[in-house]
Amino acid sequence: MADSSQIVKVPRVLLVDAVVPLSSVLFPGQLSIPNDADFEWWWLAIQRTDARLKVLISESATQRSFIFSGSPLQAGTFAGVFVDNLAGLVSNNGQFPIAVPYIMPAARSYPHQFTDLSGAQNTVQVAYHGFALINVAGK
Amino acid sequence: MNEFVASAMNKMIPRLMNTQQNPRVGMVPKVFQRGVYKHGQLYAPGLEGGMPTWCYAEMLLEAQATDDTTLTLPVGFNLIAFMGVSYLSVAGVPSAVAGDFRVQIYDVNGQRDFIPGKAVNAGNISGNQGKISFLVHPYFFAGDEPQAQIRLSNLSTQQALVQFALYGPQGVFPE
Repeated sequence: MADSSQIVKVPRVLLVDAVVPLSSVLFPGQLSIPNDADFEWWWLAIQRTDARLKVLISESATQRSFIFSGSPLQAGTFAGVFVDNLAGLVSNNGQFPIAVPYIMPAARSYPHQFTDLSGAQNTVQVAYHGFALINVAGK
Repeated sequence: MNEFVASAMNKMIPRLMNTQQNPRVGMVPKVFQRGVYKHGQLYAPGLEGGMPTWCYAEMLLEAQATDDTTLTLPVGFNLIAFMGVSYLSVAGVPSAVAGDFRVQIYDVNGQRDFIPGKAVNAGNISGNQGKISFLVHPYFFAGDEPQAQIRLSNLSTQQALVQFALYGPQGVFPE
């Protein structure tokens, strides 16, 4: 029997908002994929108060990390990549293309850990742009 | 109808036109966001399913100092972009002022030097805040323990915290 499944891509933006206290280390945030559909991730955009902010991102179900450092000469503790090395603002044409789209399954969570080096409160919003893969078979 | 035109139409010679589309068309950023990637097209071919990964080297370098390190990359890492930032620092504390640096990159297993004999200025290879340069063709770091040697040189006249990152999907093995 032919596969009657049909996927409709609905534009979707998923957000991680955090107010990172000054000089905090590995301050938690979380991206949660909604239950209704898998998410196809295409772009990343970040707005922050100060660029001196690091982040670590991982995938809870697989225990895999998006960010690696194998450098033994690390300047400090392994606290992640500077947010400006990930992405900038859409309004500054700084949205980062993931290039090879990544599917984030429905209901999966992606823990974020922020580390502030600015010495002041840092408000950050991480925007994941992509598509909800809505299955409309039989509807 | 003009006699000459009518004659030309009757004798029109089929032209051979190259209508083949490069599968990587649009992979080179011409205009950010709009021109780089097109929705529904798969990039890069053969890398679908790879997990987006950033691997970085970070060094606190004194004025005009150079140091190097070897990054242990995840298995099946395919390099497609570079990012880098430098912050002028005092006693290890980064300021908001950006510095400048140079970088050299070497594939340890493949024994390939990406910038042979020289070091490229950061602004000529990497940017930040998403304004970065993509490779036209992904580069696969081979081996069970892929490694990249990164050498960073601080061009500023004071201490700087320099971080250079390699971006690409991991866990995929192009044929």
